[in-house]
Amino acid sequence: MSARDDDAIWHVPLLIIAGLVAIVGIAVSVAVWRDAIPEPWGTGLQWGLAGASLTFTVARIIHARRVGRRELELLVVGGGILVAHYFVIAAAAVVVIAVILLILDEL
Amino acid sequence: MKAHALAVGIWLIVCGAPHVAAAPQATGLPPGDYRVVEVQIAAMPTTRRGRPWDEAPGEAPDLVVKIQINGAKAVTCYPAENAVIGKCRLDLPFVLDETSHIELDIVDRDTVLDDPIGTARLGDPARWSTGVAMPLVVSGRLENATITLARAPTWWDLHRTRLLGLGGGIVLALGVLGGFRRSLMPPPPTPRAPARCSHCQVLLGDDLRKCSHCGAAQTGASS
Repeated sequence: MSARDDDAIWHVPLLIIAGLVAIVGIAVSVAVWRDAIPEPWGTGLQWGLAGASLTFTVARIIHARRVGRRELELLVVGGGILVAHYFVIAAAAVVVIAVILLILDEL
Repeated sequence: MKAHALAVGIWLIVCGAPHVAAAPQATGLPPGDYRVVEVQIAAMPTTRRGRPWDEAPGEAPDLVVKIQINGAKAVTCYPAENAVIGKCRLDLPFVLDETSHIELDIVDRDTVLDDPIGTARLGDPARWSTGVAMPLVVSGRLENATITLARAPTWWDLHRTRLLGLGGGIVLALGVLGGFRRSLMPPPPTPRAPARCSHCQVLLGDDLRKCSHCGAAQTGASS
């Protein structure tokens, strides 16, 4: 197993969970934006998923005692989901860029 | 006794009640920020001449409600068309003081010229309250009109859903982390055992001459 494989996101459970929760959070944000989920529940769910993703990411940072590029990108994604209700375009752009960077990093 | 009561009654009727220094009348609601959240009106089914408001088949009026608060035009709302009863759900902020008043101007929207239906007025803010449909004084071809006020939302009202969601997500994540901490956060790898002499198991430090103490030639640190 190479050093890169050891460091891959897929081998780090906390980051996997944080990433998956963030992806669900992005989906919920889009659904709320499209009015597919009723507003009070949608916004609460959106912020809940963002909070959970950020918590997993922060736990990973505390546990690993370092802030890597993936942790930073997940922090950006979580923060983007939080502010998506206020700045739709800016948050969407930030989240898309962060997700692309995350995917490119794994290719 | 009866004569005394009768005299007092006559005196009250003739001279009026004795003047009592009235305490300053407090408004029903303290001055501040409020919202108009609902306006409901009911128009009479026909005009003053007894004719329908519009041509058949839709003879009921197409109501338009123009709302003025403290004399300034605030908003125009459009209830459902072709109905004598209309309801507008609003979120219209305004500042309440002792002279506040709300007026409604209701018309029947037509293609060429709108037909005035009537007006309604809510004055005397001393009797206003929140959360109830307060009747307005109506005129014209209005049967009744009510308006519902609400307090301006507090910071907590505005952010309650988001903060409760955020807190719930964080608590849920912490619960998952606590329940599965061994699998999610494995302890750091234990340091490798210190190298020992393969011949006599003497602990080897940086000083390689230790292994020679037991007579064996050291070839390297054993793992």
